[in-house]
Amino acid sequence: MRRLLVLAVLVACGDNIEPHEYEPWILPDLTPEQGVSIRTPEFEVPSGVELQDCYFFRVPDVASGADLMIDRVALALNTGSHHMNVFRVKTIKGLDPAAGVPIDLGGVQGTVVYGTDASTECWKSANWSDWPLVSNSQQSTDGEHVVDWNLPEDVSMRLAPGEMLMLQIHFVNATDQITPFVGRGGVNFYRSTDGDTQELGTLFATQQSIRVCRSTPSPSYSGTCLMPAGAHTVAAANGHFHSRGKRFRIFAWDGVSTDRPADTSMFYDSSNWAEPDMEIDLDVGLPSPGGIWWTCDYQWREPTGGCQAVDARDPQQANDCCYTFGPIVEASEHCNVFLYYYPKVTESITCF
Amino acid sequence: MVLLLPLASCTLFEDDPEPCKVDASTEIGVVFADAMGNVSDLAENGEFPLISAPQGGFIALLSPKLKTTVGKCQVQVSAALRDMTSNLVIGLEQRPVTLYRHADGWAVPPDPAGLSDLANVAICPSSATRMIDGHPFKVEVKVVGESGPSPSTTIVGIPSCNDSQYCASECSNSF
Repeated sequence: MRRLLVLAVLVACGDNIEPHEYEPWILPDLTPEQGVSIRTPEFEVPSGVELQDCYFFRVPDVASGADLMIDRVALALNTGSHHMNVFRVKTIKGLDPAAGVPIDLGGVQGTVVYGTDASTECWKSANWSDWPLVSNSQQSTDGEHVVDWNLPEDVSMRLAPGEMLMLQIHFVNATDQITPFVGRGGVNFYRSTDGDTQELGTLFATQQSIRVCRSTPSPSYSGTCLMPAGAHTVAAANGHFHSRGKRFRIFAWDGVSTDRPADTSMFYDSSNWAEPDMEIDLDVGLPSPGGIWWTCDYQWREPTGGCQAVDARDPQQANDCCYTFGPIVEASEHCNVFLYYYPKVTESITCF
Repeated sequence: MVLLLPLASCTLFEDDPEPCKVDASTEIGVVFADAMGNVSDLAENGEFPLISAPQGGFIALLSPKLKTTVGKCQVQVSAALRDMTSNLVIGLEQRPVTLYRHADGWAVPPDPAGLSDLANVAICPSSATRMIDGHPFKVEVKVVGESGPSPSTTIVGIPSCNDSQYCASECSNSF
């Protein structure tokens, strides 16, 4: 009798589901005076697939050879995206823009290195280990496809004409995340016109060799990142982990203590792994000297398809159903910090 | 039938480690692992290797060792490298590790160890203001307890690139 009741409720719920229509996000196409627009094409994300593509392009010269100072960034993603990151290309290792396929990125010509297979170069993070972060978004839910960030007053980021950038986009259409229509992403870099005097800097930090295992079901990993000397203000931040991630916290840290800072020092706290908050209205002065402390808390759960896929990835072959460090949403875990601060003191701050 | 699901979710597998029982009086030392996974005691002013990490950069694999009575136990550890001149922590990591007791009573990470069996202390690149390779730093390890005092120790150790030019370049003072 109870089983029949449950079935009836399920049927009723199913009857109420209205199929969504595909409503693409819209970002305005910028004129050279306004800035630079980048658009990926639409692409299929087949059921059961995770794909990650790396688009390369050079910053267009829209200011007669002068650097572009950017004080507003808008990033847009279709539903189903796991992330979109933009990096400055530095040392070329296995991921080579020259090896990509020519592609039009909304009027800007570039190349793309497709990553339909997780063994390919666009998936290997060591390939961009010294590529400074420019901007990122993980926001793609219905009605909230766009992160539109006006940088703080008097702050802008610098892009040099001809500088090579890489836009990496990751879509999932599997169990943990669904892409109901097609994949697509875009970025608008808006030129500053008011003579900002402070430059935006970025920090990328990650915990390596993490494990979330059946025998250790609730692990917690913490790390620190010491900033170079000087006064620094955090303008924006977001954390990144996968579906075993329960809580992501970032704290201001004094650079001396080996105890986690008090909650009063916490400026980022997210329990939403799929659409983690991009905090863009932060105004957090870090201790000087000092930096950040971050903590990732996890809860292991049985993989939907069983442990075979995660066990196969485990470098220690422990047969303990361990999710280990890696980019595949369904079968691995991350603990990454994306942070934006000013004034910039070096090309990039990395802690991993 | 109703009881089976909760029981199943609480089942301890045969090899599940129990928490290490420690207090502030527990004897504690420092161990490190090299790139081959060999685990060794860190002696005062002893060298420990900087290891190329999969994600990039160079890390030190460090952990406390503890005197325990159980054969296998798990503990949340903290490992940090501190500049003795500035007193700043160059790198720190906290993670769960499993320790295995040897005949001498010391419980240490598995040997050979995997990268995840000890704290991965990210050291290079960093905001260190002086050379790291071949220079002394404080190595601080401790057990991170839920509450109350926990064992900790500090020892002076020397991170070493072992003649890797790339490591030495990455581990020069960048800022």
